[in-house]
Amino acid sequence: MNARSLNLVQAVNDALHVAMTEDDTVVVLGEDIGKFGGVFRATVGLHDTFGPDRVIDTPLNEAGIIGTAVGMGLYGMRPVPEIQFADFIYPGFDHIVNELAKYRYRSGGQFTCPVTIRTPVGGGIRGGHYHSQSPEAYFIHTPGLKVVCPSTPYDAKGLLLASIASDDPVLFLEPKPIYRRATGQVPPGRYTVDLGSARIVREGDDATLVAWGAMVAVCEEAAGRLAGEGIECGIVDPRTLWPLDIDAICEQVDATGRAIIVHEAPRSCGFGAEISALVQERCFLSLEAPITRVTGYDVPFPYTLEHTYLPSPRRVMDAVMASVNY
Amino acid sequence: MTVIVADQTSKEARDARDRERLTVLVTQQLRAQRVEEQLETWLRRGLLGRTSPAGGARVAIVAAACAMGADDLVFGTARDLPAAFPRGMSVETALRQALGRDGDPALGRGLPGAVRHRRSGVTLSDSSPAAHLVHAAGFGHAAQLKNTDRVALGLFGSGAQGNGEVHAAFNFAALMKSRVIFVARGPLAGELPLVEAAPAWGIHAVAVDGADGLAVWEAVEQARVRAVAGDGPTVVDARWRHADEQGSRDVRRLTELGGWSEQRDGIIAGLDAELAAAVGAARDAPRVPEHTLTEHLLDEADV
Repeated sequence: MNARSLNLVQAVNDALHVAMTEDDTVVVLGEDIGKFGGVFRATVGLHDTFGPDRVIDTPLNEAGIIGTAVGMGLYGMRPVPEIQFADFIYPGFDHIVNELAKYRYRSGGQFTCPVTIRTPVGGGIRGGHYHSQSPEAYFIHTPGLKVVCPSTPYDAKGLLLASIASDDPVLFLEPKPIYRRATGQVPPGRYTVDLGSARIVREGDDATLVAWGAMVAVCEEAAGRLAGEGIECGIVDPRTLWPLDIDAICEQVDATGRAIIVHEAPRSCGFGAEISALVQERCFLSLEAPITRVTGYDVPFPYTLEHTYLPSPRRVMDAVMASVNY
Repeated sequence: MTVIVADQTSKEARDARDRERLTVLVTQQLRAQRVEEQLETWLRRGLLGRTSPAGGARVAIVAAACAMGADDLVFGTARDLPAAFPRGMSVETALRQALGRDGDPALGRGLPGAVRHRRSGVTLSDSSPAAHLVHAAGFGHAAQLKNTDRVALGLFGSGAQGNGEVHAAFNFAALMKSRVIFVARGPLAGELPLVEAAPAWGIHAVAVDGADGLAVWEAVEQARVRAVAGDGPTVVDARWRHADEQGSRDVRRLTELGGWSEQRDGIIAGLDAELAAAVGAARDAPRVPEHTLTEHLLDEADV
């Protein structure tokens, strides 16, 4: 069968179908993910195909969902819990940070918890404070977790299949603003995209943009417009935020001498700060300008002013120009 | 309401079984007591940062562990260390764990008593007092889905009952018919007894005298039969209301059955020798090597 055009949420759904078909230890659980098919339709059709024992509608209790998944993982299953919005993940934070992330380490490698938590992230959908957040930094800061965020349908399917196959816990962040906007060719059946491997989205000699999730498309638009002005930007999408493919980022920055990191989350202590530190530690002698961050502001994610808050192509272009003209 | 089917075996057969079980219970209680006293000694000498002795809860903890199967998994906290010994973990391993010495299977990463020992099917926590109960519900749910005879045991105390994790665990377990047994041990500190509270979750509950190891063993044994039959989880409330209820009744009962006086000296001498050897081995063992600091964080094959 040939590759077909899918959007990002369809690619997620396709990956779940493949994983559950091939491995009967894979189960999905969460709020309204069964008969209803999930609030974003990511699990549609799974209940009919695999039944209620493997597509489990749970009570509205994130601590219960994630804690239950930890126990199922200890049993030897590969649960894939869905947290309806990343903004709702905090009631389950203790189970992720203190239990799931630590189980392998805390037991000296005796117990593993192969749990992949899927959750939609990001703003721009008129979701306000509690349906728009990008909480990746909290979890990247937690040793023992892998954190993934795809920006294309191809990567979403390949990374999700790799995450479910991993014996480690994975937080799989799905950029909901591009669930349907991002489309692309997706092969049928199993393939994986290696965790910890970045994608070079675009080559460019003048500056390097680093972005993930919905911000990759923002950077592509900015880079396209800048190319019209004779400035060529490369774009690196880490895809896996942790473990980070810092080598791929530094290779690009060494070539351009300029790094601009773009993310939706608030600026202070965001993941951009860590990437910035890593790049300056490794590329200090190559840098032609200060490393720059284009991020959300240090405020709760706003409702009315969400497009003021979110990094735009214009803000990215301004940052690139400032770097180039430094 | 618990319905106990009348025991059809003869009194002699029941007494023989009880003598056998009581001998196990008393031996394991004494073993755990010696370990806890040793940890207290080391705490006073400044060798440990803390200990979490089970005290009177030891009777129910040991008995619940004795009732579980070899492939089951016991979830508890550091206070539930007595559960590890009936499941095969050695006293020496426990002491090495407490001191953070080489030989602790968890590489010195847990607080004293919070052992993680896969071979014995024991995972004891030093974090939240109740998060492990949700894990037990999940483990039991997986067993229910796979229709195996593996069952989770979740041990907890009164300090956990007000925690939201207890609601999550009971709610999920009841809805999913998890193969899990929750055992409340230690003093009842003003909470509603679980036989009164559990119906709110639709979860089967029984109350049992926590100072009567034989009764706890039988209650957990029956709960395990229910779980494996797919009849859902059980809460066994083995807490006591008054301090004078907490002493073990098992030695007295074993004495009444005529099974203690002739065994007593041999068992105690054996336990004392076991402890002395374990203390020496643990004290002489090297510290967990520094190179282990970064091991087992993620699957090394992937990073």
